[in-house]
Amino acid sequence: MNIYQHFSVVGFCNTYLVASKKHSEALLIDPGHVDSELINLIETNKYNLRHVLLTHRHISHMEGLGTLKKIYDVTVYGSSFSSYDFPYQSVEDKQILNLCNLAIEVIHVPGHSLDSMVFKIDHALFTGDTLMCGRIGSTPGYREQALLINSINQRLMGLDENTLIFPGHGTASKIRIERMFNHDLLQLGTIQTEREHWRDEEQS
Amino acid sequence: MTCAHPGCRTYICEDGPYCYRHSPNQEELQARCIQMLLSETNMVDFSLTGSEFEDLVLPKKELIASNLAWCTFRNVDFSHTTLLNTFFDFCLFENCTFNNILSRYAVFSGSKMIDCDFSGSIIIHTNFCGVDTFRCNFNDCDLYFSTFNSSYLRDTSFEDCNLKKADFVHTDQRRVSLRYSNYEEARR
Repeated sequence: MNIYQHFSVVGFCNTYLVASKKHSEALLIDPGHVDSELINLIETNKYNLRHVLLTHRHISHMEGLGTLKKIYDVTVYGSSFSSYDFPYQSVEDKQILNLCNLAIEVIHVPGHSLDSMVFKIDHALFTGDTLMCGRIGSTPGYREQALLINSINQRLMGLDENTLIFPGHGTASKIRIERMFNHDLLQLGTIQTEREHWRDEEQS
Repeated sequence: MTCAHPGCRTYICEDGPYCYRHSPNQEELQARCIQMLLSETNMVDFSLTGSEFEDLVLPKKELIASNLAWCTFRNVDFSHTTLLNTFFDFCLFENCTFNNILSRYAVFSGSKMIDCDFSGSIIIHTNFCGVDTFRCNFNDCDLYFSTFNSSYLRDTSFEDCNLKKADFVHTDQRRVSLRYSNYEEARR
């Protein structure tokens, strides 16, 4: 699998161009801003852009969709928990998409937004705003933060430690790195342990 | 692809079913890696974890989408190289030089760096999460969107750097100089 990263200062969003090694069909994840650099990336590699995956419905991750659809005939895939004002295919948790000769596992990780999806392709996780290098995504309140941390722990932290993380903002990472150094997740570890054993302590 | 050895989840070397640690021909693999590092052709999609490299001077070249995690580098000169999407996580760098490098989306997370010099480099979107630095020099670097959180920085200088959107949250800094850098624009 080939992964190309594109960063735009408009929205500071990472957009990923993904394709299998032997095929020319490609997909984009989170087209935050479409500029000539991104078009050049697609064209110089002679890719036939067919699909767009949206991790969640925030404008900085989908603003370039309008421009993109004028240039390419793409099918857009978005969470079944959100609705868009353009035609799209809805995807659900645990669904496997077979696109561009790649098997894409959809993982629903709510918290940053209720429709947040993470896409797992081979050993790469495209986490959007759910999990970034050294921190978790922003949340409107502490309940959503707890939900996000729980969702990440349950759905992502159990994955293989060498799984690569490609977030919507910032630098790439690995599951092992986040397990060891992500303070937001480390905080929850303590809270969770306390919650798990509080009954035992009371009895003793 | 991960190693065929039972229980090992490390990525395989460029050919064969095993990672470097479980490979029956480690010496040959390491020799080939050194040869690739020293040649002027770009190193793309190469994986070799847990090896040791000493006294090398790399030519001006690109290391792209490669995995050199858990390696030890002693007295290695990476100056003028381009590191794109290359993983150096949990490595040991001792007395290494990274002058005037271009690093984008590279990962140095969890590494220990002793007496390393990164000065004059463009190091953007690079992951230094959880690094331990001792007597390191990042002077005159563009560290836009690079992450140093949860790291231990000792006797390290970040003078005259661009730290816009750099991340210094939960760093333990002792004798760190940030003179003439826009530390106020970093996350801290």
